[in-house]
Amino acid sequence: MTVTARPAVGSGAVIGTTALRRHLNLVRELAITQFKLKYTGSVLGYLWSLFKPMMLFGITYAIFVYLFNVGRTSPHFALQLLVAIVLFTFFQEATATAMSSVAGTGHLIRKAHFPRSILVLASSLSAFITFLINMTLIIVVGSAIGQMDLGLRSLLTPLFIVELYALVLGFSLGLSALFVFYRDLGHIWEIVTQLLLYGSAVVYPYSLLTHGHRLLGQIAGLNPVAQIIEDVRHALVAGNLPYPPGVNYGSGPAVPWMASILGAATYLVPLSLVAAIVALGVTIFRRLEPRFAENL
Amino acid sequence: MLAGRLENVWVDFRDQRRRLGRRHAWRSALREITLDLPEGEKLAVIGGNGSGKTTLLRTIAGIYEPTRGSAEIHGRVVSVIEVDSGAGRDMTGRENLQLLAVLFGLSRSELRRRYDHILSLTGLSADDLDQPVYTYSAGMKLRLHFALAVGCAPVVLAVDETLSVADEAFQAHCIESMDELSRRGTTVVLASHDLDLVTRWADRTVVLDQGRILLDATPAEAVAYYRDRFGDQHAAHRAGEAGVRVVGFTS
Repeated sequence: MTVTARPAVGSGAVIGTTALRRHLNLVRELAITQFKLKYTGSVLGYLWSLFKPMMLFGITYAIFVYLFNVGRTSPHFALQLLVAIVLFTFFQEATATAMSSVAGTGHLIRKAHFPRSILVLASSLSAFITFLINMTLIIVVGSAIGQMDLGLRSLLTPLFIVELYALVLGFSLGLSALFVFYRDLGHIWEIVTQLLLYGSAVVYPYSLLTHGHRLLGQIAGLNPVAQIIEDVRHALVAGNLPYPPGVNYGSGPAVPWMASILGAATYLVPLSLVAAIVALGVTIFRRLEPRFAENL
Repeated sequence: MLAGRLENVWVDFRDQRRRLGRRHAWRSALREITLDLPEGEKLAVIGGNGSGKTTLLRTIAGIYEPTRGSAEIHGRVVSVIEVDSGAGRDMTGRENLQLLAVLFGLSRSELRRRYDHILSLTGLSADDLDQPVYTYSAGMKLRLHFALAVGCAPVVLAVDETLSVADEAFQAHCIESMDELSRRGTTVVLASHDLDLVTRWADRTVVLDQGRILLDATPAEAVAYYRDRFGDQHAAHRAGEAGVRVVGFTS
């Protein structure tokens, strides 16, 4: 008995130009629709996407600066914190929203045949639109107050953002597929993102992580979220070359050539982790995709 | 010319009962389905509740993938199976049309070209179209969905027992539209409990039971066979639809 993939309406290994255009069109429509629907019925609308990270920033800044006396010495701490919070909020919201992007759209899945990964892609793109608007606002405000360094180093920022988006997409694909069958995942992911928030030096300077706990800092630096956030901070705000993760960002490396070797090696770990997460996400999604419709 | 063909199709679903420490069991919703879909044919599918009609339509529409066997449709398939929420209940009728059109595979230029025609097919006023879909009645949602399905000019149109929510005039309009599509070469597959409609409308009818095709014949033969074999069940179903409590049957 032969098992044949359904080739007629665009899915499958070989996608023609027409099917590709149709899929891109659908991604675009869904992303725009989700972006609009997110703010339907809300008085402040899009402003919530700006207020939420700003509120988290205000609370965190007050606690760390006034209560724990952290970051007072750095004139750039406020902007570094804000950049990190906006990056992390994107990671957190995009993965959380994408997780329910398949389970929450059973009404679309039961209507037509299309690659289900489009739902995840559209969801993450919708969050990405919000992130880009927020990031642009920060760059404009940061430049206006003279704390943003938009030199050559800042050109590295898009690379780190691509890395972040790949990470978000990898997690989103895996989580959204598993969430159709295991709803416990929503609760587990909330705890994991909290762990990442405090383990990735988002709300405090990276130097605090490595201070007195160099090994801990180096291990934390292997986490791609920490690496991306710290590198974007350095590319945009502090004005230093983005040091490799695991090397003490606070005071800079003592021996520059050693830092280069260490840097190259330690960059490989977070990048490999991102690649592994994307590969795992795609594998899980492709394996579970045929069973979505019957479970929704 | 064939618009599509299902060959030896099995669709297995996982048993949803949770059985700790034991592997999930599987049940077959469709078994050994082989079905040709000639261009322009009006095919009716009849069978009792749970016989596999909707699963068959969803398999034709590509929503379910065959577990075994192959299902091939040579072009765009549009289904009118589930019309409850459209593409999103908070979106307006117009927004729903736009998203569903893209979902059914219409390109932006195709949609631009056919948009006014599709709007006119809905029979809804401009005011209605600007309201969110959660304010619509079931019949209005069907109008929206059906107009789009017809306006997409599909190769295969799969319609489930959703027409029953429409008023008599719109039901007649739907039948006319399906006839018109069929004349233009679209294969129309209709699952229905209305045996009189099936006899009047279809070119060919298949009888389904427990996921298997019991008979593939002319509508008159299929309906006679179905009434003979499942007459009591069918009468109970129709009586239930009409709000009558069936207490027993006499031969």
